[in-house]
Amino acid sequence: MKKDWVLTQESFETLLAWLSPDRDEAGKRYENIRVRLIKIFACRGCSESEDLADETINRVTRKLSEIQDTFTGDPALYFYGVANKVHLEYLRKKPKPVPLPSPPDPERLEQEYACLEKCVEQLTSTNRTIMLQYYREEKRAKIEHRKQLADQLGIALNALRIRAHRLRTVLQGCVKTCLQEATA
Amino acid sequence: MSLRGVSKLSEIKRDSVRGYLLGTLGEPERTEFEKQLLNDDALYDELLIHEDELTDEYISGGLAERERRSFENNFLSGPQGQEKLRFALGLQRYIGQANDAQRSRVAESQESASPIGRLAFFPKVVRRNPTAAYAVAAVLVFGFIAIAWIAFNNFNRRTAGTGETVVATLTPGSVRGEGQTDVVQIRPGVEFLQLQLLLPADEYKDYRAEIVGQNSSLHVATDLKAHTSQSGKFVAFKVPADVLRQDDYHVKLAGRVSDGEYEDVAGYFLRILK
Repeated sequence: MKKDWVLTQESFETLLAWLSPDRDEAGKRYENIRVRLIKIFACRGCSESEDLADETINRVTRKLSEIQDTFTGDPALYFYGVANKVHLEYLRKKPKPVPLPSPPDPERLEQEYACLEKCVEQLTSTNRTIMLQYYREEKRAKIEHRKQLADQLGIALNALRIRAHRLRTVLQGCVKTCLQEATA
Repeated sequence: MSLRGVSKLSEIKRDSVRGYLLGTLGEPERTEFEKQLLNDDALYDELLIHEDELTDEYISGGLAERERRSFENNFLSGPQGQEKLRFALGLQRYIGQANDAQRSRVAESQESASPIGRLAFFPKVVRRNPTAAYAVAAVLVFGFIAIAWIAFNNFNRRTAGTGETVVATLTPGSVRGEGQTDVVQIRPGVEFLQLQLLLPADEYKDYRAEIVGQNSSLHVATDLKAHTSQSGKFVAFKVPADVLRQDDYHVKLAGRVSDGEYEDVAGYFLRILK
């Protein structure tokens, strides 16, 4: 993999202009493509998914001067094609096995848990109740319980599912920040 | 995050999301899925939701063997997956403790409404007849000590093992694979292995643990009660060391439900070195 090429501000601007004439829109498209490439590499079991996504973006940017006048179609799919090549090269290199996660350090787990408690306390009481209620039961009881909860809130079951996920994402972000602050 | 239009996603697409994360889609379907993922906001958001849901299923032992292995080798093998896994374990523990606290509050309020709960009359009795009241108190204290002593002896009997014992604490959902399993070294002379299984949540009256190796059951421990340590709630049991040879094992933990049946609670992976 050629990793010596560096993305410059100028080449990055060219990339954005290719994605959309509107700079804000181009920025959003760029970010969307990047996070999804990371996700695709991660779901393929690549341990360095962010590096591989960045390598894909670098290669596309480097090729732009050759293709931008003639390329027609969805730029995201061009990224996808390059991502597949990058992935094949990654596989050919026979990557080292993923470093094994060390056994959970009890102290670290306790710290994470303390952060989680703190973050849950920061939720509004309604959101806290939703979190506690949504995840409380197991299996069949859980499905029934969630239906009841959705009825109580007057929303569809899928809307409740989305709301719970959103809360969970907020909590996970809060725990991450809390841990960073604790170790800073 | 925006979660754009997830509610409009069809059931077929939802099945594809699950298949994609579990690695069960064929090559053409996977390619099509990934191309769509790059532009479809609703599909991407659904993928994020499914990651959470599958991680929860993984922790609670709800995935089939093949699904679990595939989930471990793909999504869970990366740093993002590991972070989600740790968070999910913490969340389960939090929910479990919050529910325990709630159950205790409900039990207390029921107790205070019951005839036994009306033992608040006790101070009145003391005022009326202190001798009788102290006699009742002595009986209660003696009864409590006797029950505690019996319980203590029962617990000791269950976990009895006078030989040298190695203690290992296992985390639910520890990832199986080379070196990704909790590893326990059993030296010569060790007679018992005491396994402490950390609980994602304590929601059952008692538990049953089963050690499975090469598709056969090697040891079953029943009537396990939850205990509390600094790392959270756990159940513990002893197994004679000679039952286990150098190999990989799966420990299945099930909780007893009210009708006397068991349901899966968590899975643990263990590698024995001798």
